[in-house]
Amino acid sequence: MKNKQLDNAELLYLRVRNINLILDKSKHDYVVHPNGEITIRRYAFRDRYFQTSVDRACINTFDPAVTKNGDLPEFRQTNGVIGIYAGDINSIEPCEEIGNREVFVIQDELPSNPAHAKIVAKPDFSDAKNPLDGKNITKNKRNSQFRQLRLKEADLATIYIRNNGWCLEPLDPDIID
Amino acid sequence: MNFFGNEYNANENSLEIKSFEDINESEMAKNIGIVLEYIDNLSHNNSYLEEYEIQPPNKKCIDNAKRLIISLISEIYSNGLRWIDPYVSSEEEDHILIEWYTDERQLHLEINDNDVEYIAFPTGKADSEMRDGKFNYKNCISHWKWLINEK
Repeated sequence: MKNKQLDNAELLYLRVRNINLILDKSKHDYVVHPNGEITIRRYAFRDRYFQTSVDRACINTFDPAVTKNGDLPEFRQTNGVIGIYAGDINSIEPCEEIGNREVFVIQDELPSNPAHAKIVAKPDFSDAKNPLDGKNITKNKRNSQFRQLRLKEADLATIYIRNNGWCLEPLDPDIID
Repeated sequence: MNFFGNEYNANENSLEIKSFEDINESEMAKNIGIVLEYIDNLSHNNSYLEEYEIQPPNKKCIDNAKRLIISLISEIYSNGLRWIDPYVSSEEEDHILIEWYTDERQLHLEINDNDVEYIAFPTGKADSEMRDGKFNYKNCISHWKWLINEK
């Protein structure tokens, strides 16, 4: 069956990049605080099509290295992998900040990645017209609502990592050849 | 009243910074310089922008972000508060994001051509305790004190 919504209990893996650019912190996917706590940033959930990609852990036999290596070659060595449950995403309530959208995770198997799934919203963020009330939504407004959604997702991922740690810890770029 | 001078009367607020040269405190000047460089980098380093097909922020937005940072840092130092190095990024040409994190709290500013909006929440509670609104001279210090957990 295609595009089935995932059960709440499914563990998802999400790749985060570890880029050591002192004067370009904009690309950091997470923050490590002096006390060792980690905060995931919304950049970990970025997606140009408003549908953040994740991997279904069970399809990859719970091996986060598969997710880590699915990135561009220059990031593969240092990437980390975080976890989040489909139920956490599915539990995000429709609210004004995200345009009263429902949010859920669906399977989206790809030839190159059988574990691929994506976080989708209904109505989709790419829809210029809201099918619920027929009103147009500007691109800036939709972008803003997607940013708000990613903040919520990042916060949920932060809760997961603070409770469970890294699924796969990123490597320091300084120690990589 | 906003950070970009449209409705701002300098006589009403002695803490206004007129230019970068007005800043004498070396630590404050250093921190301003660091963040201004982050902002300049948004238009210079385009690998992220290219990957996600995003236009770099326009000049007006960059100027607004710089003005905001100079004013905000001076307010923070004038109030004897500690500064936190922010994360600066952009996802649209008329939009710059500046974010501050402590282990317990987050403050995000969204700067556009005309004003600044904030989002603030305790980490782990974005779905229930998120606050947002306009960020301005009147409320910037109260938001900052909340961020650094200062009464």
